[in-house]
Amino acid sequence: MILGSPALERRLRKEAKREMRSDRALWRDYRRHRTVWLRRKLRANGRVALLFVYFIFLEQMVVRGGGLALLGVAIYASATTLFRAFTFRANVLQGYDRTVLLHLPISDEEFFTHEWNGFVFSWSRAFVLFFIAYEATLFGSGLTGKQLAVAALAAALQSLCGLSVASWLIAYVRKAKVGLASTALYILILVCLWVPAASIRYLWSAVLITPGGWVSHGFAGLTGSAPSRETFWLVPAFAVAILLPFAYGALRRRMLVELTSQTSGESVGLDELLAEREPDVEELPGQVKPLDPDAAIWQGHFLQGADWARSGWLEKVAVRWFTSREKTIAEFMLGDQLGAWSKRWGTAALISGLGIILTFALQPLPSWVLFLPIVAGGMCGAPLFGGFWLGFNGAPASGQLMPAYASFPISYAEISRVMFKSNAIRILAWTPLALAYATALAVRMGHSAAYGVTIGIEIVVIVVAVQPAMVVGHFSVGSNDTKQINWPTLSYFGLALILFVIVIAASIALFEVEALEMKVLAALALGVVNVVGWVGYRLLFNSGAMDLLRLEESEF
Amino acid sequence: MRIRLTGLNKRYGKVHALKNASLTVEPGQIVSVLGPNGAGKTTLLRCLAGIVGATSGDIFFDEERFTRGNMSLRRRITFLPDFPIAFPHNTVLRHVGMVLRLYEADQPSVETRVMELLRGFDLMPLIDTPMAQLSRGQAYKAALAALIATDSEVLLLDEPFASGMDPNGITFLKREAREAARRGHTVIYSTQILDIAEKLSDRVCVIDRGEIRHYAPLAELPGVVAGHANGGVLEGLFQQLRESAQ
Repeated sequence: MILGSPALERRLRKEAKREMRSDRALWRDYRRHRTVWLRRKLRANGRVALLFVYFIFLEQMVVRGGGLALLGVAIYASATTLFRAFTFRANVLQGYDRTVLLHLPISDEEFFTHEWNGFVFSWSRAFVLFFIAYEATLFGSGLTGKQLAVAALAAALQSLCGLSVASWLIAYVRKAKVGLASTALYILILVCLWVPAASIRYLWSAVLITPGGWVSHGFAGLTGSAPSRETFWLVPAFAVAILLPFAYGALRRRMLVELTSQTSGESVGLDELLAEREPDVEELPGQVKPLDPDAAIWQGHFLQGADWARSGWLEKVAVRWFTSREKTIAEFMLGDQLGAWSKRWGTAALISGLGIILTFALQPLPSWVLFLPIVAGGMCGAPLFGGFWLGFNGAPASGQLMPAYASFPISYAEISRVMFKSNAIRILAWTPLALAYATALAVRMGHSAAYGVTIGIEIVVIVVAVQPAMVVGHFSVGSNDTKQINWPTLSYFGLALILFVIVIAASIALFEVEALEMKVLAALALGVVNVVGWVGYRLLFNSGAMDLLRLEESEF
Repeated sequence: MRIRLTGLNKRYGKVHALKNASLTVEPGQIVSVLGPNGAGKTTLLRCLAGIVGATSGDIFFDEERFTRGNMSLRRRITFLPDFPIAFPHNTVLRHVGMVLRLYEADQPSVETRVMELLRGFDLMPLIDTPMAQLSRGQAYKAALAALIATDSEVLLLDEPFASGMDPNGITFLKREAREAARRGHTVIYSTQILDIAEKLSDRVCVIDRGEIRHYAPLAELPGVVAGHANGGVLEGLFQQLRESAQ
């Protein structure tokens, strides 16, 4: 099934252009509305950036040697198999393609074949990554030339194995916490760079539970990186790859049953998936329970707002500080779903606790890795980037996205006040966690506990000081401020550039200078500069110098 | 509320969406905004709602200059885009309550009015249904009911008659619009349905390529004067526009 008709499109475009060229106004209109080819391509290939990350990690693994790169390939193969398998399943049953093609005269068989072809093609990209990785390990060992074919063979086998396993998984496992499992595996690749050699050896054996590991082991045996008996592992890998046609047959049969059930009214796939995504209204914390319709209206329950007393402890503290109007704004901006702050704080506490344990348990790690738990904990427990607010989410509006708050009478200052207050409370609650981790880290690295506390306080101060900038960021994302070229926006971004330089300088000074007075001065400068940026954006916002619209990044 | 636009221009990059738009809407008027696709109708409504900032020119509500930061004016204006904005997990009643609170119109006396609107739009059985489970027309009616309940002085509606509302909803909206105008409120809506515009307008504003071509009561439009109309009055006017563009 080919979607589109390139030859027809070309002919029509040529004819339309010929006609439009004869009318200057039409031609001008056409040129104004058409998408620039380069911009279209750049948007579509944003994932190229991920390749850089891939190359950096691959280079690190190859340089460190000891089979680390092959271990990385094995884990990556397992992770990507899981991820691709369940993404494919979700896409087929409730993806954009399904939504669009369901209404066209295309049979489920044709639709499935179309999706399968795309799936197979996506594995060709995985093949390239595997090939580069295998070739890089050979290059790192000083083997080149004839071994190129071995690397290509191993990459092909790895891809076919992955495709086969993924197909079996999609066919027979309908529900799994795949997101968590594949993410854990991706993180494991990262962690491998710093775990002790003994753990690497253990993991190298452990990956044999997956077909991805068999290929890596076989490849190692074949190229002399491991005893030659390891080559044996290529046999079961080859067997799994050979089973691909059977896997495809089973997958096709089972998926077609599910696809047919979507249209026959006996839905077993889509409804279940949707049901998972839409929680029962009665179960949402902070919601008023449904009542008898008349009673609900006449008793005015619907005007009372959410029940903050039933939400988490952080929310209960925050609501005491809010005025009545701020409470209304907060409920709107949170999408009336309360309780997330407290839950996230709990997760942050868990991450910080585990971070403290791992800090002492693992070998000395690079400093940036050591900061990961505090960042991860901060991301959960504190609004490092201003927090998550549904009210800023974009709703479709004539081909663009309009932030939800835009069509209601809610001011910049009102939203900011709510964010400042709630974020202050959340940061305050996160502070003990940050200080505890920073202290443990300092002790682990041979510094005093006081030094750790100081660093922790400095981090908290920065998080507090940059909140105005984060609030501005939320407003900015929902607008076209960077595309509206006028004097107010140009002036603001000129000012923002200067403020940004000061922020960087003040942040560095906060950590680097010894004298307490200078630290206080740097913190004050940081705060003042951020407030100036917030006030400047307020003027810009209120004057209407930019629109509360942004272009939709639609997948259509 | 009296609305006055003077020399309003709006540019999106190279696109000149509104060109020197000037008009005055008196209190208690219903104005339909007509024009081809991409003519600037939505931009005009968005400018009036403060979502889009004018590149130049001014908007006055009751002779007070309007900006996005003017909250006292913004609380007197309601705007409903072509796709209603509502949190999907919120029930209809919760959505109505939230909108009323945002407009600070949640006094106890509003309950009678809410009941009336829910009944009128056939939303009673749906009050405890999440917005995500409503059809497009039902969701639009729920959003509309919430906004009408705020009793704002200006109601701006983007393509309300292409929103998927059922005939009963459309009839009820027309009645509510006339009732609001009778109370001195102003209703401005965009539409492509000429029959509705002919019957539900005190004034018609015709926009083409960002320019206001005509702004007058229906009886004073050039199609009527020149006797150009083949079918409806506005059909003739649109035919004229197309001919002049070609």
